[in-house]
Amino acid sequence: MAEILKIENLSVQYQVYEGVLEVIPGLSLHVREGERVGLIGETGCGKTTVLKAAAAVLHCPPAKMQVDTIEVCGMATNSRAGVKNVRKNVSMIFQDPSTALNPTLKISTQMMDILKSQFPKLSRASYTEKMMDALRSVSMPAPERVLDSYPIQLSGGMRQRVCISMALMKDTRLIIADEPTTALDVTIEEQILELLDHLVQEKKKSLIIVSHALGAIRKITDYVYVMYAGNIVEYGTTREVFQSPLHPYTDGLLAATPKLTGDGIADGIAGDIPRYINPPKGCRFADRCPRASAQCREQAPTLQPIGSGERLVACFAAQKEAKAL
Amino acid sequence: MSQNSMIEVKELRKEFKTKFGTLIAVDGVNFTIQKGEIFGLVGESGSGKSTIGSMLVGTYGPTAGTVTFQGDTDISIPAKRRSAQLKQEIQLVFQDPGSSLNPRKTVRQILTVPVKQFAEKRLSGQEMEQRVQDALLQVGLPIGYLDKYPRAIGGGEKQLVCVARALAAHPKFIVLDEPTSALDVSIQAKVTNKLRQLQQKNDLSYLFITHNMCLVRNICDRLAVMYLGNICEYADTAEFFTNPKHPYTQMLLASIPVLSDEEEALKPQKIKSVGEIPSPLHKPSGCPFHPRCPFKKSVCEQETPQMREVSPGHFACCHCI
Repeated sequence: MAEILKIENLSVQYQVYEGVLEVIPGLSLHVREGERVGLIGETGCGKTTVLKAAAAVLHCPPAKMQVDTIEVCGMATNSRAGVKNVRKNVSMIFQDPSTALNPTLKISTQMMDILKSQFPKLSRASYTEKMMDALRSVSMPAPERVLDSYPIQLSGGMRQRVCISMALMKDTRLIIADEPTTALDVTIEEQILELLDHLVQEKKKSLIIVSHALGAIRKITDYVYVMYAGNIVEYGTTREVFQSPLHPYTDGLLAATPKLTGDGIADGIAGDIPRYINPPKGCRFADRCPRASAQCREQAPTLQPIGSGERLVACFAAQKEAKAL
Repeated sequence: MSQNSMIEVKELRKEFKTKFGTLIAVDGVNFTIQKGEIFGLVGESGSGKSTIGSMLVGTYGPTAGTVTFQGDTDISIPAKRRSAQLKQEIQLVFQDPGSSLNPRKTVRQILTVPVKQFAEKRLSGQEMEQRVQDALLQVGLPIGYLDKYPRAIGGGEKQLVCVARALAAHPKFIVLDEPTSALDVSIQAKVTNKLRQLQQKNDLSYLFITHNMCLVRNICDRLAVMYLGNICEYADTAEFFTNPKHPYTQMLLASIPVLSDEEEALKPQKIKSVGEIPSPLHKPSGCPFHPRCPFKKSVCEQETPQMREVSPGHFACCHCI
């Protein structure tokens, strides 16, 4: 299948007062057509930076970006035409629906902007009709009223629905969702996830969704990347990764999540994410890892395929184990 | 009953006057927290759970109703009218450790405040230092942290400093208002386990306010679920999760995103989540949940249901039960 998004060997640094933050040392990922891909990791591991690079909205400077290729729908993004192509084919949903919408403009004005970029010359009535359709598709109650409201007059769930309907309104092929449900309550989260899932499948779009809520990722993705401190540490089908995690970080993360079964919570992962100024030269997880060896501190592991299927892991211990089997 | 009770809440009610009318944040709530118990208060945003926490610590007094502390002391009064002893015995830990620690003070300065405030006598410098160190060691942080500023330590550690600050007063009861929701999962686990250990060691009682059902499952002894200012269900944790009665709690449990098939099987069979929590300014008549309820009857729109005991210790508030 064609690759909608391809990132190869992306590295990002930030110049700050204290020095250079080497946030992402060299990261590759891909999303194929029609796939729903999740990206999980904790605060400060560079998830949003990756998404911003993919959507060509990473501000350089302060960021310094080097990359072999970033391709969206088969076209590199490092030219003006490339950026235009990104704008045409990618839409984004942000974490916080209360800051993603302009508070001084009515919803109708904001939606109109998007429509005008795609359908420059239509009558006012047909614009309104299209906006109503978009709002109805996200099961919004009373769409007329919503169009005539300012964002502050809507609840958090309704605002996020507006954001989703705006992202789906344009004829884009890839949707980038950055923590779309983190700001929402659990019953609303479920509705939004189901909606997103349903619409993505119905309209045959590709989705890349970032979250630290593991349950949400498990629910709506086919493949998942696990990120730690700027590196992809594990990749596989969502089912496999959640059922039998190979990387000690994924394992620790899953164990630390409180379960419904109620047999207590494992003690989490000791320590903190390493500092990005002069990061460790070996594996960045080594200091917190229960399986770290001398090799891990000397040499950074790379992603290696495991087994026959599509499964990648960047951990010496896991790779050795797989070879032994 | 009252021998063992730490907090007894009766018909608690809190209204706020706003520009748009009266907002009923808490609408006649009853529950009891036993000694040595972790009591969970769960609900979505705007359900009034933090308002209850604030009333217990005395940020403001209730509009109506009573709160009794340890069976005899009436604490339905704001903190400024509370005795020093009462202030010492009830402590609070906030949600966001980043904004609840003064960024211009070191951990030592932060911890000195409660130690000095609640000491039984004038302390010498050495005694003070000893108590501050004890408070920090108690939560498992090294002494070296005393001279650090909050910005220099991680989120989980900051929250532990907040816990240490609460413990430094030697309280009997702590209100934990979403203590881990600003933290990452790996750190949340550590802080939660520490909280539990401290509770057992010091024979504390907690009111654990959260919206994370899975967390409640693993830490609380009993819990109450709130919806729009009312408690809709109230039971032992194990009983609650195996046998939820109220349609809202069933919906809540069914919506939890989980990590394995094993957990999926534990959720009540699919009740589809519909609608949103209405504004507490325009509370629906009768049962507050009726606009979203799949089992709605005509009586639900008119009459407010009463709390009923469905099995020993398990209460639910619904016309259909």
